[in-house]
Amino acid sequence: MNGLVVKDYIVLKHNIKFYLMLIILYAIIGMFSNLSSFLLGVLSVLGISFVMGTFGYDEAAKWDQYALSLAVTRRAMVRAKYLVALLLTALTVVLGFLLSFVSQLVHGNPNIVQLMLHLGVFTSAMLLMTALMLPCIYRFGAEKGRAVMILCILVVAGLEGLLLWGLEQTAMLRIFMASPLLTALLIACVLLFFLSLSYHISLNIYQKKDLGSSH
Amino acid sequence: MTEALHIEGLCKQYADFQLNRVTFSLPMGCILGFVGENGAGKTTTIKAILNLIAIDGGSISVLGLDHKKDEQAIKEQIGVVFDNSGFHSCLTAGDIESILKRIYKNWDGALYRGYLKKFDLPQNKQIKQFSKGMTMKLNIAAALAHRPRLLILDEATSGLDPIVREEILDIFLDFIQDEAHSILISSHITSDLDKIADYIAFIHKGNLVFSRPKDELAGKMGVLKCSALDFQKLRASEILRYRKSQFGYEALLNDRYAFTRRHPDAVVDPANIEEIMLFYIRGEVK
Repeated sequence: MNGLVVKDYIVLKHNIKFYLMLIILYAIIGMFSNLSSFLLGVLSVLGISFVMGTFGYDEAAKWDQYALSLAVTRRAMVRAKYLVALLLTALTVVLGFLLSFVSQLVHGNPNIVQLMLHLGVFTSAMLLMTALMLPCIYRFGAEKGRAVMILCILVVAGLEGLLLWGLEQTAMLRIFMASPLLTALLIACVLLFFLSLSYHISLNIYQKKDLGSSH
Repeated sequence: MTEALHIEGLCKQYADFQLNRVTFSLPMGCILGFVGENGAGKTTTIKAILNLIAIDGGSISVLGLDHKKDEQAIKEQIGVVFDNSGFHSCLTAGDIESILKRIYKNWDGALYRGYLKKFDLPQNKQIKQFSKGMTMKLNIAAALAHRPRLLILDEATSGLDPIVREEILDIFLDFIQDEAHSILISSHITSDLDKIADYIAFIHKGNLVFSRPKDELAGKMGVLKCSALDFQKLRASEILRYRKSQFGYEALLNDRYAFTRRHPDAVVDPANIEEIMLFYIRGEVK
């Protein structure tokens, strides 16, 4: 599996220029406007695009057919993609924290609590999108997956809005705010459950998939 | 174990195509040329061997192991080259080593770099800057560097110029010097197989027409050229297939020596793989 993760790292490294330009552009806008949520939102979408990108590059090269002729199992292929998605999420979170923190320092109003809250929301959103998106890509391919990604962003944004509204309506939000650690733990457990379910669905799809269609 | 590959009654059904009870074997230490026109079922058979597609019936044994149950153990011992590279065009030969050395237990970096040097391939140039011949050589180097016992090549020489094809065929002949090594090579360039194959398996519209030693084909089979009048006198059992040509009739014979004993005046030439293939695909049964 290490070889597969290294492959994605090398491929992304060769194609990083475009993403770097976008990150720098949005980092500048985010810093000037002092909107850490804007910056984190953009970075989250970029992070997810990175994951999507690895599938797109694989599809263009017909990598999966080749990789499965090597000493690689289908399970390792799926596992590697989830690991890459988690690593990219972690990288996005670290980058988002650093850029937002520097932005807050520049504007003279550092607010770690608010920043951590924003980071938590966007990390959850990224992981939820990953959990929704990957099985769809395994089922429909990277090309149709782009449409799925937009749909996932809308679904996740809608779900989070609905959840917040529901929490406010039932006064649960105050209970959660009173015990943030417990809340974070609860969210982590829910995310873990969704990711695990997503992985098993993806694996199931991939293990039954015929690769290539020519005779 | 005497067989590197044994396929028994392989079936695969698609909406517009089916592999129908395909059966053939590749003896250890030999090269089997797998021929057939485009869409005949060569790639589907190879994908079935590699467990890239689920099969609907039959069994496949590779190096004495079950292709599904022992998939991982098999893939440690085989090298595969497809007609398309499979590598991302941004990768370099050096990148490929970084990836594959983490995939194969017995990856031999020195051997891989030796092949790169032998094939005159740069380590730091991206594949998108390679010619088709260079890309194919890179794939062959990658397929050989973990010291496989069986090479599976799907149209590995198609689209290459004769010089590069000759170089690549030499690599395969070099590989087969070890008696424990075997090659399955699918191709529709039959002249390549005339040069290197020990056995020929011919597939047509998903059905295996024959799988026989090449010497038996080239040594026994023949092409009869005769007039319409002479053709009418022939018994149906004497010929396998026939074609009407501009100057009369051409017929494929199973045993040209037996035929010329019965018809000493007949004009019979030895048949090559391409002619045999064409007779089966475009010819008719009397």
